[in-house]
Amino acid sequence: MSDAFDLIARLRNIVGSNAVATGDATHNFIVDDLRPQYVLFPATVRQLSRCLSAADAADLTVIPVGNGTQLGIGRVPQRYDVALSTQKLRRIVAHEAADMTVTVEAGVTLADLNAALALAGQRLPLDPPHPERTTIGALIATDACGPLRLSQGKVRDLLIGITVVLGDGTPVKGGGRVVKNVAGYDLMKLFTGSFGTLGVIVEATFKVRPRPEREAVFVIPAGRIDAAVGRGLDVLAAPVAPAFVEALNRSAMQSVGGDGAAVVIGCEGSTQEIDVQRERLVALAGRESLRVLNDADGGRLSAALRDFQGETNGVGPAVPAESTISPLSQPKAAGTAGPTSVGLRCKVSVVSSRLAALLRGIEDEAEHGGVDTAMLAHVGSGVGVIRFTGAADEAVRGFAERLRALVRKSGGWVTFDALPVALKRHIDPWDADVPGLALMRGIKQTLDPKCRLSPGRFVGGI
Amino acid sequence: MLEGCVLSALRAIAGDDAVIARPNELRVYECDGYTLEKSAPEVVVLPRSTQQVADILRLLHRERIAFVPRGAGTGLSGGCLPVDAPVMIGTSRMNRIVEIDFANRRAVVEAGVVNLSVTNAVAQKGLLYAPDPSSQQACTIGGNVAENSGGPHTLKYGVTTNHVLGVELVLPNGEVVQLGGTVEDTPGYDLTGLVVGAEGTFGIVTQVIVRLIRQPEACKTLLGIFESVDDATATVSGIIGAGIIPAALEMMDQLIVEAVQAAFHFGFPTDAGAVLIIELDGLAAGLDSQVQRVAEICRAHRACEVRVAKDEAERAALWKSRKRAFGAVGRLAPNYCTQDGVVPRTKVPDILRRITEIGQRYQLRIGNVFHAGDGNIHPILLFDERDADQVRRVLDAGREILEACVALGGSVTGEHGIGVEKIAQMPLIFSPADLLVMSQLRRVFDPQLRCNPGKIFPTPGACVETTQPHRQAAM
Repeated sequence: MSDAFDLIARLRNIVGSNAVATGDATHNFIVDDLRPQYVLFPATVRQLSRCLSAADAADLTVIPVGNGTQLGIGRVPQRYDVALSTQKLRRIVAHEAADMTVTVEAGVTLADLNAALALAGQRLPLDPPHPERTTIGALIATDACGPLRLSQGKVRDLLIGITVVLGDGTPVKGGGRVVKNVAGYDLMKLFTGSFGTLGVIVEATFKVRPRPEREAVFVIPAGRIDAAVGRGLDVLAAPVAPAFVEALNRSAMQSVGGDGAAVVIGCEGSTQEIDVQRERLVALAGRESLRVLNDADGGRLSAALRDFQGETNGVGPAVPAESTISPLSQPKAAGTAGPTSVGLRCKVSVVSSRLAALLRGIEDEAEHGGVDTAMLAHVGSGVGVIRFTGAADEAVRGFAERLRALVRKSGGWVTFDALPVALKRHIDPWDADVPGLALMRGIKQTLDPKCRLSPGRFVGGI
Repeated sequence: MLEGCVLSALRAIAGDDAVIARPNELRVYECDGYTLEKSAPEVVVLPRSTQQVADILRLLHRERIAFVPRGAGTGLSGGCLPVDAPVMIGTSRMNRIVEIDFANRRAVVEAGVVNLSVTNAVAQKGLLYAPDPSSQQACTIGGNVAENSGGPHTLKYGVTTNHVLGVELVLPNGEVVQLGGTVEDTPGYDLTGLVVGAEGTFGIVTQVIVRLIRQPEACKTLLGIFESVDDATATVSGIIGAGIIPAALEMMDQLIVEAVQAAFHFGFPTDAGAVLIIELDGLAAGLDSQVQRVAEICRAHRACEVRVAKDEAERAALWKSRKRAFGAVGRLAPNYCTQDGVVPRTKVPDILRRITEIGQRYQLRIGNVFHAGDGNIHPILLFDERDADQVRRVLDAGREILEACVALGGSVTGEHGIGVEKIAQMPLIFSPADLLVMSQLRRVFDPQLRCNPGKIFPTPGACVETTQPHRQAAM
């Protein structure tokens, strides 16, 4: 016991006594039913580095945490002693508007960052779900993105510099603050989508873009999901330059306030550019089929499309609005049919030309299996987000397995990014045989040799 | 010296005609586009397939022999200079376009495929491969992957890493691994992103999956002519500040304009202090009004003249002048050395003033032709390699320019790579801990450090040495 007291004293000495939480106060940081012994809130990179050194010396494992929006993604941790929060690292270090770059600490939320950039008519054009709660650290660590990836790219296309702290407390940086730079290995790529397994992201520099003059949203109805994807591909082949093209099945469309399956097209640019694209979409779809939304409706719909990926069906928003509770601390469903439904979500990635058949196959499979699915697809990227709900564990489990097999047959990958703990024992959130797994293990072993960070959560149990 | 049995084993794997070992034939391979250091390999092998590369690397692994990969040898930092590596493996015969998937806008190409031939192969279907380094008629996709090459149009479209979805990599022990793939989101660490720009230190990339993009519907190219470099750089800031992202935004100063005019007779006024090439592309609608806005910004910054290329032929001629500027410089001096520093784009005027001052101090002629929109400068230092004193002054001046870039918040290389050239400058931008982690990552791929040794990283213990250029290879 005295060791534990020593450790608490040491941690308080590093971050201040009100920045160490223990006991009940750790409840909000539960991951997959595991509760950490300590939650630490360092206010500076130096404090954070000392926290990691102290945890390392005390043989404790650490999960880096922003606001917990993505914390449910991954396997059940092998061990979880410390939640290391970046919430207090919330400085915008430097916004060089004329250079179109911004350097920001990991705990700043995307919404706060974009509010600051907006003052100069700029934005970081990434649109993951719930930007008001998604921190920059989580954005990078989980490679979060949304519909805008079609026109603006993903984190990897915009991140030009990064500072991380390794498990032993060593700060390391890659890249810089200039938009073009090939000095040294590209650590930005390595840490993007590394899910807290290699180091704690503390600071990042991004390229930013001008905000578009105008935005417009169009809807073309389609019979089923495969028709909607097909419509989307037609749009992508047409002489338009959409910001996003999203295909939704009926159930997904209903969840965002619409009715039947449809493709939703977003355009950005000058009035002239938007007008000509509207005319070309009319030519493609027919005047009676193309719904042109007014600005307010269009804005609401694109926000709903953005947030679709952050929620599960049936059990309401996965992340409570104002706290940092783990997204998956929802009540566990019993193994028998009952009033509580089990909500899961996955992301599938195939080449665009196979998306329609795959999603239709999944939808058909769901109907046979008594599972409700809501699906949204980033058509140009070949990525589908599928939320599904079934009355019982067995039903969703069987469906998840068949879904994985279908995706495999299409030459793609699936990640179950919302999965109740009970099911994680049966369903690996990640595909097992990703290319380069041996090298990935080698990298983990090199950067985190004592396996201190998010142990066991990632692909292949990394 | 390599033993004879290694040579015969290489011949057995790749064929007699694929093994070059005569000293006079090896001279071609003694340097790349960075000519200040030269060192010929003992043998060059030109395999035709991934299988042959794997067999060669297994042999070299067994014999513990170091090797250096080479594409077309157009690199500008000595990335394929043999440094303690007797075997060079050239990918030039692996030049098949394996597959083009028009529907999904992807192509699978072998490493030795020439950059421009990818675009040529897909142009009829309205597609293109976006990264367009000035050497694109010669440089290979494998070399582009190694260096994460850029080019003029990367301002809007990104560099090589933004267009590569996967690679086939032969590890230094001969094992073949597929990283990434044809789909956008492959789970796991982004190893493809790590391999791109690793300067050929992780193994030999044999195939690359690239993304193709649609040709823009319309494109307008402007030439802005300015009395002074300062007016031209202020124009660059003005365009970016107006929220316009051109497809390309390039500058040439007077010395370069004179050289390209003499070489290509485009019709540049040779008394101009600087010219800007500004390309705007996208939907045809709205493009004319953007051209108007850009022209107004040029005039507001005292442009003497703004021309808009009247047709595709004129546009092509303009780009030819820009992309072959380096070659045209050959008229001005027997040798030249190009630097590749980057500064925040608002600091371009500062760095250009510093370059002028450094050139005067070292009594060197320096021209500037560069990606102004990215802040990626390319000062061209003219010299005669037969004059040892000039060579020394070129090296010293180059080093000072890079130090100035770092002092202004920039980097020592935007697209050419560290290679051997800029090893000594790495500690200017990275801490010993940063460099240690990077060299540990290298060992994950190449535990014996046999793949392209002597590149990127200062040798241990020399981390603080920044005063002398790295000198491992013979001059």
